[in-house]
Amino acid sequence: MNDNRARTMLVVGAAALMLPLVADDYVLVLALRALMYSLIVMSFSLLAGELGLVSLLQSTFAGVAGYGLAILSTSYGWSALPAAAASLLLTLATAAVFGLVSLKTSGVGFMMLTIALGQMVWALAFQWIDLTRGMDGIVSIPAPEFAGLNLRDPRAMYFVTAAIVVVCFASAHVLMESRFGLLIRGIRDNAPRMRALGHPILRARLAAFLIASFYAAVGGILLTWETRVITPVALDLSRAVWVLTAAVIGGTTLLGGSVVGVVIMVTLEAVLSQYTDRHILVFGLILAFAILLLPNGVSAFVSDLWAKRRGRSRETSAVKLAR
Amino acid sequence: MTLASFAFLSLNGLTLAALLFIMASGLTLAFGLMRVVNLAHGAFFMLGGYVGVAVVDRTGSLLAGLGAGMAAGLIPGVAMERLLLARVRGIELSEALLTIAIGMIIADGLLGVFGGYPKSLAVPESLRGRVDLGFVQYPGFRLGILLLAVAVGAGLGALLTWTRLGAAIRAGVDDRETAQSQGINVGALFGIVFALASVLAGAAGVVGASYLALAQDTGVRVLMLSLVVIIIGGLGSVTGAAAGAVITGFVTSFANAFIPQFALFILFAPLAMVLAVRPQGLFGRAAA
Repeated sequence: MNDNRARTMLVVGAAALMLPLVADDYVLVLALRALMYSLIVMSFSLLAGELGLVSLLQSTFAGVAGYGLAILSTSYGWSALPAAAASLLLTLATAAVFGLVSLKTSGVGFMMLTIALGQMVWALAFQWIDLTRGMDGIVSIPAPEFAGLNLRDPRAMYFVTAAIVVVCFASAHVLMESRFGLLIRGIRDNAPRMRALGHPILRARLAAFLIASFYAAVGGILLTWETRVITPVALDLSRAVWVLTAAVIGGTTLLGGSVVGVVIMVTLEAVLSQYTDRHILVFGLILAFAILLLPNGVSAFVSDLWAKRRGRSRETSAVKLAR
Repeated sequence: MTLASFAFLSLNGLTLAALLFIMASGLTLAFGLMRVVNLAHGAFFMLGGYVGVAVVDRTGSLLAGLGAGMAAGLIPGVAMERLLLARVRGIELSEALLTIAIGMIIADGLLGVFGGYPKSLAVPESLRGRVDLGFVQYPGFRLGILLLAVAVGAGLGALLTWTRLGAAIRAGVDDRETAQSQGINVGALFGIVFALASVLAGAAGVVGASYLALAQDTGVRVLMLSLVVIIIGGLGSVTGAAAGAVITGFVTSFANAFIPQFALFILFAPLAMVLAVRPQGLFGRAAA
């Protein structure tokens, strides 16, 4: 990371920390959701950008974690932290099973498989009514309280969430700069060669898949604490496409892109809801135009402009994805 | 379980398989040619269904409805392939993501136009009867869907086996580069197959609306089932689509009766088993 980008991130981070002091509750709640969703989008971008696998399961994993938390803390009366830990484990177990089934495939085949698996989980939440209460979903999920911090207060929740999100993004960054990051980028660029060099392809892919799913699960747990409701809508394909759209318009460059995409999507959603119910239609249009016109995403588009001024060029993320 | 209920559930499975085969056969063939999967296929099913139901409601003619439904699949299919997919040709993931976007636009548009209430096809009086098969009485219209699927299968089989066009399609599926170097225009073939697949999705929407009510989630459900069918059967294989459809139809039908809470999730079992043993699907060829 060069000085310029570090400085930009510092300024953005400081501004984000100041937000609760100046924003009203409505803006604060939007910012909270953006922070939480940015974990899910980062989880998607991690797999799409670094491993070259487009997984439409990442919002599903957030939903699985949310359901685990909701069921344990309402039907079984678990307190917040053990319920969160158990639902993280549940999500990782689900991701391990799904990963073992799907990670031998790649490209469009992998993507199709993630859609099918995601819809199976949706169906489970919809049809296993004894456990999930079906379409009605689970309501009045208790908000956690730790050490005198009542997270029902959006300001307290904001600081806790911001801290968790910063830790997640920082750890993802460190990981991608490590040998492991090199390994999975190598697999993305040329899996046969990496196999020939003796690297365990499937194990590395599975590890990356589990790590990404962990971040999505953290996002899902925070979201469930914040909204205190979970319904099968959390597992809907349209939610996966929301995440995909945010990642595509932000660009799948790990850190900046996810946040840019989510902030655009959340803002847009808030504005749109004043005029129309057809959010999904608008997001579909945005996704289509983004794929056709801005294959690099907005943040890459901006840094492309910079790069052009410096006379460098970049590969498009679509080309990166296609490899 | 009595023989009659076993027969009834088997017929349910078989007729669901018929519907899924009509959906999946075109999808898998188009994928075989260009490695493009149309993820708007479920939305085309819905579009065909809504348009077909509206036409049947007004005219009372099932044939008119079926024709309208097929046109409702054909037009967006051709438009999408020529105007949008052509712009990102060869970038597989962009193509797939673009079809998701179109699917979302169509599905949400339909929700806006037709509202959230489930809609069904009013089957004409003359076709509403039950057929006595000796051991069980079964709705004649659903048996009609089975006949339609057999006709589609036989038609596709004849096209692929005996015509020049079919031979060219088979060549393109087997080895796109070589077919192209022999002067076969695989891009144009793909256009034809894609259009055919879209017509079949529209037709499936009309006949399927006789027992799968058209509602907000139906398109995605049908897409999911079709994807399971072609993944189990092997991408690119019409025979595989038939086998995958029968497996998916039977598992769903029996699970619906005995373990309704896992009616769809249970499909994970055949999917995982097939992928564990043959990652390329039952009739798919291993990637080179």
